[in-house]
Amino acid sequence: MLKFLPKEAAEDVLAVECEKLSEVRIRANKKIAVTYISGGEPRRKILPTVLNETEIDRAVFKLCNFSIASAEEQLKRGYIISSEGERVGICGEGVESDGKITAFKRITSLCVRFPRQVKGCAEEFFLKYIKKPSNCLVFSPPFHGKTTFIRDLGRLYSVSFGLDTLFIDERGELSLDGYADLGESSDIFRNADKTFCLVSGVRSMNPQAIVCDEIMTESDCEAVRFAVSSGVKLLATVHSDDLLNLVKKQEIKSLLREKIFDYIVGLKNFKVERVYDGNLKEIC
Amino acid sequence: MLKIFLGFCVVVFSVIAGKKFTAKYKDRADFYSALSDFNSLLIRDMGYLKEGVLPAMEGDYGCEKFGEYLKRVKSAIVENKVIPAAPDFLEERDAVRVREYFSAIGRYSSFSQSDLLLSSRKEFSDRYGELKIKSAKSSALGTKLGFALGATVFIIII
Repeated sequence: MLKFLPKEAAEDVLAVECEKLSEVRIRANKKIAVTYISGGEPRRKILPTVLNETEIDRAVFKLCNFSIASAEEQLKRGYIISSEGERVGICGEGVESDGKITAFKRITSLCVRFPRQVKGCAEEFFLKYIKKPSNCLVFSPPFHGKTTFIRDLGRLYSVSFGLDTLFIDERGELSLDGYADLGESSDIFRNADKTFCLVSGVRSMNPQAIVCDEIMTESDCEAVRFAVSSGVKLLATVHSDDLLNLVKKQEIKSLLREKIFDYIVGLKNFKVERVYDGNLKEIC
Repeated sequence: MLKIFLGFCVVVFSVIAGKKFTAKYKDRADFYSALSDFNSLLIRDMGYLKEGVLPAMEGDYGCEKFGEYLKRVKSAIVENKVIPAAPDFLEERDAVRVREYFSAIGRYSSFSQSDLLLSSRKEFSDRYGELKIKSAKSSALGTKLGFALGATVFIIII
């Protein structure tokens, strides 16, 4: 883990509850902040270790496997997946060309996340509500377990219903870079554009269910409509802290109005807090 | 009889020495041939797999000396050290160019990287052509000179 960081910094971070580590924030010339899970809740610890801009730059070059060009598409999207499956968000100075961000330079902050598989975390919800394959939308603020939940729900669709389940893993988080157990009948699109995979996956892989993390843009929603109207069951996530704010998102609002989802699930601290039906009526 | 045998040995030795003396020209050509192949592999990689520079450095390019140099370059890249000087059998201008090339690859966006690799392709291929001709000429000359020297000594001995 953290092989891209200078050895001393990696050792300092890994000394903190290594197995429960969930996020590391590295900022140039500032102390490293570590978040870990203790008693089911995220806790933060500030370490005395400080990295400068050159060291961060070097870490990014290492993350790119010493070839900026080969990680360019990820860099444009603002993150890199390390060879060990850690997702590293980057923050720095955008390089613009033709009105689009084409790269980042002078990278000053890194946000390292450690996705983990928690087998069975969606089982209670699955057994209680999912009597037949259904479309589910899972929402929560960042860092409350959406990806972990939906990964397990997708695995249950694959294992319990025996559905051909297609995981669209845009950032290597869902499949943990291929290490997660997603069931025998799962297929994985890794490190590829979500919208493209939703459409081409339906056409080429003939899935019965699709698992897709973080629906955000209008084109994502269009692709979701295409998949659902093709008869595929969809499990998706979206960032939001409650239903009121969720329906304020124009793109999601139209999906909800069209009653695309059978269940809308709100998570808090890695647990199911609220469940709504397709009419947005609270059922739990 | 002993003199003839001795004279024959001298001729063989001189021919081998003549070949050895011009081996650096062959090494240069072989090195550039391997460098050219390495560069072509990177161009293909940029177009499809995009695995980057390090996996390309694992390949076998049919030149032991190039392979050894690649190993040193790879370890310098991984350990954040200065790219090592190119082997000393290369001419100075080639050694500088090779070091420059290895210091640059991997550090640019795909657009600039492609530009660098494509311009290097022509350059390396042209230079390989020159070195190959030079190597063939030098090798033939070395063999001839070695043989001539050996034959002279042979005549003197008998």
